[in-house]
Amino acid sequence: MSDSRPRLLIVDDEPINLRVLVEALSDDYRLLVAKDGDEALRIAAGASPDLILLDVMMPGIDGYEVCRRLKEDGETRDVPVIFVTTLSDEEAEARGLDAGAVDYITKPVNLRTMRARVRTHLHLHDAQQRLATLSRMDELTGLLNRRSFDEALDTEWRRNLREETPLALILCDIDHFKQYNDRHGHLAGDVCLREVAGAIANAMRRPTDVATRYGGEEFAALLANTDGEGARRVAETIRANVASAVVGAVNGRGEGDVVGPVTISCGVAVVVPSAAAHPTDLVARADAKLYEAKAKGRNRVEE
Amino acid sequence: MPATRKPPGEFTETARSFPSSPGGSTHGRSARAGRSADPVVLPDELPGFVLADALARLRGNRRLLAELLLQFVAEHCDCTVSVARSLSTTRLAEAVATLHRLKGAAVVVGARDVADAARAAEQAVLHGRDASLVALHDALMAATEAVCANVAVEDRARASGDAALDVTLERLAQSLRGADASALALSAELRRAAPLAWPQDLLDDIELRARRFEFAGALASLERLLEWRRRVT
Repeated sequence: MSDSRPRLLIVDDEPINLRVLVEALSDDYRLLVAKDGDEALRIAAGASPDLILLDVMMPGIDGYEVCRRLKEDGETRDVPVIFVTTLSDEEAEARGLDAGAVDYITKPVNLRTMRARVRTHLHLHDAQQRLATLSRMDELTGLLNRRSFDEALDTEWRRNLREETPLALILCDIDHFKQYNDRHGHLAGDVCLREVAGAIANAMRRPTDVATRYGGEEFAALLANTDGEGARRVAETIRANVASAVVGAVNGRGEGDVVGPVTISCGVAVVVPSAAAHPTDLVARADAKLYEAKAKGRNRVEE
Repeated sequence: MPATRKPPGEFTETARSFPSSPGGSTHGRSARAGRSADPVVLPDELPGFVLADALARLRGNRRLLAELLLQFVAEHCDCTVSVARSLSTTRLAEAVATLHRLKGAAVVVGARDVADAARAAEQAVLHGRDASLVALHDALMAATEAVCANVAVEDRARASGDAALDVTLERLAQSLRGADASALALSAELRRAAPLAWPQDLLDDIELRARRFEFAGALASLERLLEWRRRVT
């Protein structure tokens, strides 16, 4: 049976301190322990703790340096760190918080307050994570939003530039969506957007494939390390999935209804990124192809 | 049998023996009071300690405080020697680190006199003053004597069963490999549950190292135990 409790990493070179913290927290959390900074960094990188309790004075690298390195590493940057130390002067506390810690507790610790503080910081961290996730999502369709698309495009552009591999973009637009909304109402329009989003998401096969709502009735699929043939195949799959689906919806009066079918047009662009080019060039090319698909009669893919 | 005091150099770890009669403890009255609810001998007061504060911080967990006191003297009773060695070879940072650890641990278990002496010595070294270790040595010896004579924790009853032991062994190995703190409880559980015919020195070593959070060493001993078990079965 897997242990779903939050995972804490406790770092201290003194077994008695470790023992006290383990006693305080073992009922509610899964606890990992490290006795020096190097071990702490190794465990933090491998075990993805939800929170780290960190001593300052330890053999080898001290707690401040451990915290600094944790905050530099993309994998551990967001893990909350609480310093637990006997250093009680103002300067030491300020240094700890400056290093990126969320809290600073002086020894000897009171088990009740320690538990409360850990619980509070885990709740705060959880709320922050959920907010961060929400800020990246499109609420209606459940796909990533435009901001996430911009970030993903930037990241994948640089990755494919480094690896000299092709980066593909598929821009999709629902055909005659305004008329669809006018005829069936905006609630039906929302259902339509969700179903098209689902069809696009279903066509994403690899973990690196990114499906986003680009805006309005437009969607974008970003495919790293994908050539023209591969991108066209994915675009055709999306188009066929949407065209064959009968979009179930509710009408403006909240009654069950069946409307559709719906079709989409897709523009496909593929480039091997170069230092001279810019990510927006890829978007512009895919956009031009999308217009071409519309001009050629819609419900089609243009590359 | 009363909890016996051992010379610092020979003190190994948590006292395993529990006084056969409460009167065996120097502080029999306090020990009786603690024993009825929890198999622990822990007086209300110890010279040089502020046990009430430490106990309050530990949410009144008498067993934990007793175990920590025993662990404290076992781990730190010869601390002065290592500090003196560091100072004699001008490894000042090492001396400060040792004193800092001692101070921190002393504060946790309420060893007021040791904490004060360690703090004074740490400050002296940090500020380039002569650090007289006599006061620290005396405080440590007095603390060791007080704890060894007055504090004990009873071993819990043994239970056996090969299937359950195999599960414990497997879980313990996993915990030690993953630096998981559950190794602490599992190693104690293993030592309590293992039959007397099992190599007690290995069981003790595994528990002791786990209690010190020396997981690599505990795992090495556990592997020796598993090897022994494969041989005899």
